[in-house]
Amino acid sequence: MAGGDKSLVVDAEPTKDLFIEMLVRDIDLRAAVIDLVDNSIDGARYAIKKQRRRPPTAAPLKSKYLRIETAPTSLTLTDNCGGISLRDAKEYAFRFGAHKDKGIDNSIGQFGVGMKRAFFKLGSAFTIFSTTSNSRFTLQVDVERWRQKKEWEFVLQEVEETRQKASDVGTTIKIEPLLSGVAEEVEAEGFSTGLLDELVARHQEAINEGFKLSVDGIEAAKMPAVLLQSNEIIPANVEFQVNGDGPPVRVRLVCGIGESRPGEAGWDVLCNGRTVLKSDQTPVTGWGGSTDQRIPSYHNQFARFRGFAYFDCKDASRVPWTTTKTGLDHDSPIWRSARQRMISMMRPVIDFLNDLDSEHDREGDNQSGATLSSRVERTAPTAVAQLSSRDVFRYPKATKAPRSGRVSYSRAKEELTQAKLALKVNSYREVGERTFEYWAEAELD
Amino acid sequence: MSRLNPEPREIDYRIRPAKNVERKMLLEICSRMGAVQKMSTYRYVGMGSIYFVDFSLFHRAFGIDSMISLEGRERLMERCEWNRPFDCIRVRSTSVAEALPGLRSEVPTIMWLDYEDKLDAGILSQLAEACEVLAPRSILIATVNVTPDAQELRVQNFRRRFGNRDVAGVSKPEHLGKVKLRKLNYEYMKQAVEEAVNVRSIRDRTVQRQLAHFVYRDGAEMLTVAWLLHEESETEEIENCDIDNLDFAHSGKVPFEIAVPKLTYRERLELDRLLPEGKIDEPPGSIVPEDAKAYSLLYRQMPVYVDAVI
Repeated sequence: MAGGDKSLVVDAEPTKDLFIEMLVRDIDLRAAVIDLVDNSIDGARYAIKKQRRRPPTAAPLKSKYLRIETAPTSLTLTDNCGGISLRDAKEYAFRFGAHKDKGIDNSIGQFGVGMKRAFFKLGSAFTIFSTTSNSRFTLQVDVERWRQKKEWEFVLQEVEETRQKASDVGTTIKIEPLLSGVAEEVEAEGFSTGLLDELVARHQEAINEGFKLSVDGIEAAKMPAVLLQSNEIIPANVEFQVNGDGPPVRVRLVCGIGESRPGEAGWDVLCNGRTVLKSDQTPVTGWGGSTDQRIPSYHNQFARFRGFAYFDCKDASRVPWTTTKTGLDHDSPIWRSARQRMISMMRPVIDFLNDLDSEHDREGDNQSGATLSSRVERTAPTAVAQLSSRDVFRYPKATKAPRSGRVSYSRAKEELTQAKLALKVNSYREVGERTFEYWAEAELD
Repeated sequence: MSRLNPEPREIDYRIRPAKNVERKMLLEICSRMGAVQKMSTYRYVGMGSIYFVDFSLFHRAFGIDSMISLEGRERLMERCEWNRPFDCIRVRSTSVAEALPGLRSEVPTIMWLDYEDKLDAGILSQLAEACEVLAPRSILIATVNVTPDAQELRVQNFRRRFGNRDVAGVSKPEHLGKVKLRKLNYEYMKQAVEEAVNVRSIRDRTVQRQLAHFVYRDGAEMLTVAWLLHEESETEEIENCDIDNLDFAHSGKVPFEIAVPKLTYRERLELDRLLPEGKIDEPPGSIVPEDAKAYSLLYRQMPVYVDAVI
């Protein structure tokens, strides 16, 4: 076919247009911002881990912040999370196709891809100022001009490799101007609060650890996961390690009861501190499986159910999240194994909530002893982090249901009088008893 | 008209010969674990009803003193309590499904889920759950009723019990006849256990092996399967227990059929004198060779019933 002199050189290099388009195709604006936030939080955790000498505190991230400011034409993110080292900048963050091997222990972000993708998605130009303890640089990119150049690289400016003031350490990313579609969305009513809500949902764990995250001045509030506890109602709390290829995955499963709030009931699943499933009430976390009958489908009588599943691993690829790290990977063997344990753990909670529910149905019966609801009243919220370990949810048994029940109905007096005569009894009550016995004798085994 | 107390509704298994043989065979299978785990340190969990036959047997044979009987019928509770043959038996008023998560323990357990009922998805989930909560070296035994339903009800009942499972394969009453039904039941139980243990092993390297597969009839067709859970690293020690060496310990899909021949006491004595070796293919008296053969497989376990005045 192709004779030697008829050869033609085909330029197999991907065009930048195609590259950019592919990169941003499946991502929405907020997800792009979330990628950048992931990077900051990874940085914060990494910085704290490096300097950690004293015993870990309840709020290890309390000195770290990320502030997001929106304006009609720009989006600015400022953090003090360690900055990007020159080496990372050169080898990973701004390099194309070389991000696979870089991993920050227990990281959540996809270092490199996420950042470039976010820039292309959001704006037509961006500027980064980054300072670490011993280096700094600036990077300014005009996407349009970069697109037209043949070269793929970015050029770092104002590079210094000297000791920097601790208070300067951090990264500022300014994306300006925003792409027109993006600007419209950013300007729309409720964008900042919506974005904050979404960030909080994903990063509540980091926020609870003290990380200060704000959007346009509104700071996310700590909302530590709590469960109700007393000496007779005690959440289950187990921790185990899954070995296999690579570093072990630490799994912690907690479940019990909380306040009755249907919107919060269910399982939360967190991978390396990031929420990948929130208040799940579906078969994914064991509710009402079609083949598996251990747990009923979610119903509002279970509005007190709370479960938390934490997966942590140095190697971010081993925790059960999808490759984009935004959702749960249902097929992960580690997930399937943990799920089996979760189902076993939730069953007693479900039994207790069923008992509690049927107690409401029996209201009016005389009951001896404290009711289950009064026992729930006597619990106090306890932070999930403070629970002691316990294999099985502990709960009080309902006071026995009465062994007998009362049947009552009305019939015409005339009929009843006839029945009294026929049965040779003196009261309606006896009529009821004798007619019931008659039927039971004839029909029941 | 006199009305006898209809409770408990199950037949009196104390006098059912095949069940009696099964208990003793299971006892012997369990006893083989004694090579790695002192039998008295096991916990026994069963469904003792008001008779506690299996509890008595396991307590007398092994000295197991941690015994839990699950009783789902609250109305029977007082009577069960009262009939406990030994003080070490605790009766828990609970269904199996409810009880299982709370039975999680580090103590090796012999758990006999001796269902009266026919297999359904609920029982399969309970087997899976048992595989989740039992400690390594535990033995899980499940017995279900595999009597085929009336022809016209078979498919509809199957759907009620298993939903859409095997929709294509199970569509006609012939698919649920005596032999096919017990094969299907065996496969379902086996799968439930294998799957649960496989998933568990991701966490703690627990594996399972089948120890027994019995079918028998005492009025109803019954199927029993037993499994051992153990740590993968212990495989060799478990092999050395030599459980498979027992003729009736079938580790595969072919069941051991507990067929109790009808023999007189005198006929039994004659056969006993020829066993275990001996020529039983030409049995004495008018004993047919088939009965003699059947007897030779369970002569050690077969009970002798006498009407005693006590």
